[in-house]
Amino acid sequence: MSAPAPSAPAPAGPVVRISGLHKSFGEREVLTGVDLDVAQGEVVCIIGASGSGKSTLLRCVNLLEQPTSGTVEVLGVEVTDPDVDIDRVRAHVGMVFQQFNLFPHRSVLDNCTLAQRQVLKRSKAEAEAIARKNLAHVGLADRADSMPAQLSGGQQQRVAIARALSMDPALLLFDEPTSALDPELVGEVLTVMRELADEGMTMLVVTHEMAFAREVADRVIFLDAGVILEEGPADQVIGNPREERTRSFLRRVLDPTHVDEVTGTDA
Amino acid sequence: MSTERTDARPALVAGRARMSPRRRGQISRGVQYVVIVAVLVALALMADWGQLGETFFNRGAIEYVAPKLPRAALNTITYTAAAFAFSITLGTTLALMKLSSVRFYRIVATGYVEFFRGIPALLVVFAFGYAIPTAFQIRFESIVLQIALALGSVSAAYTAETIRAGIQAVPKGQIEAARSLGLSSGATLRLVTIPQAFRIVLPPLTNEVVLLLKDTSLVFGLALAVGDLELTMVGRKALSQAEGGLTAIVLVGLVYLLITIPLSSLTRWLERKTGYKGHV
Repeated sequence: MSAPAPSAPAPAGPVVRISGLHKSFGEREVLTGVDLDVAQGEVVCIIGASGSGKSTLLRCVNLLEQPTSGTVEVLGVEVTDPDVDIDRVRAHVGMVFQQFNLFPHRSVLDNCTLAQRQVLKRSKAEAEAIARKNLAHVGLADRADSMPAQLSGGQQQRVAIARALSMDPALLLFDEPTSALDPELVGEVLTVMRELADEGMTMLVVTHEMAFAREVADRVIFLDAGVILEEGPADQVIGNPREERTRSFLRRVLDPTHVDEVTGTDA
Repeated sequence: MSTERTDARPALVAGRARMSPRRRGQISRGVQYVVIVAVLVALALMADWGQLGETFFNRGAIEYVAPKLPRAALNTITYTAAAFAFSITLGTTLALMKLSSVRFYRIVATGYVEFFRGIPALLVVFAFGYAIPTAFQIRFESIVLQIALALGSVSAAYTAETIRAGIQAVPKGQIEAARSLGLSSGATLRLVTIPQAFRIVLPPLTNEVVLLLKDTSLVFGLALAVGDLELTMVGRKALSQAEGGLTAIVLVGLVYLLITIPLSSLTRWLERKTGYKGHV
């Protein structure tokens, strides 16, 4: 399939469809057969221990990691097809990173206009208007002319979200967006994410924030040893998990001082 | 065990009676300063100031050399600037070739760097002075171009390695962020990677400018008919033509310093101007 990326969200079908996804780094198999659909407007949180392949799964969606086998469809385009221009798909899939990854040599406003102008070919005036609207959305209208280094971690992450939003994405990927933040700055980022979810944004979120996942996610995926071990509504997976491994993971996350003798070795 | 412990206390008190290391250090520094001052005074008394003045600041030699310095200094700067412009252009190209996924480019760039790092710059200047014009039947229209090509092609081997290191020092997350926004690999390089890489390598690149500036003294290797082109030529000629011992060398040396020392302030200014404190 060599169809270009659609310029608008796919009318029907899932936003993301992952089938039989395998990913190895050399000898090490990180994902061993993942199937996952994300519907339009759905918020899916991926949880799991470190090394379970959460981030790798997320990064396979916009091909920051090249899957070893299996297919990934985004907005109806099979991105794993070598004939697909991945840049055109990525322009509609925003990504927010753990380390923010703002461009330190560009102002906050420039961070939000760079790809709009370069990729979407918007005019300077249009790009800046959209950037300012999204900066206002994340509560940083007054910091447009700041340099990233002048902002706190929470502010930087909110700029990163505004930068992603400025591309009018049909899907947002979040890779542990609050893990690098000081505890008192986590709330401001989660608040913005909660608002986006309420506005109907399709979101795929790798997170350790169980309270957020429980409150905001439509569906929670528990990834363990490269496969989806358990999935379902947030209340069920986090509140009343079926699998023993999910239970022991949640015990460790929710009560870090708790020593779990059964699974303590695979932490 | 317990007896040793009780012994430790009297020893500590006794230690106070002797000179402490801090006190000893103070006295040692004082003695050294006394000796240094004594030596300086002795040198000042023994020196023949008239002779020294004649050797280092001879009036006749100053009058001979000084008028030639501004033009020579300007030429030196011009050669440096031209050579650096060539060096950075070729160096960036070579750096990108070294990082290319095409093996052929990597081999060519590595060969270039190894070759030009391994031979003396003077040899390359000779090549541009005699060998290349003869071999290819060409004449360089401008000395600036000739020296820029000669010194720049050597310097490019070093700037290539510096810039490559700079590009690799840009965090991977920067490239991922750019690509995730839909930027092509070329646009990412141009708008995200290279601007940050240059900011990182600004200090070592200044170093390269200083080295190039000093290498312009190799212009004599081009065997040009004209003399007094750049600073070292002026100094060298003055040595053989005028009295005055080291005067010409001292003056020329001072002019070099006058150019190179402000360069480091320029770097600091540029670092401030590029306006951000490292990566976030």
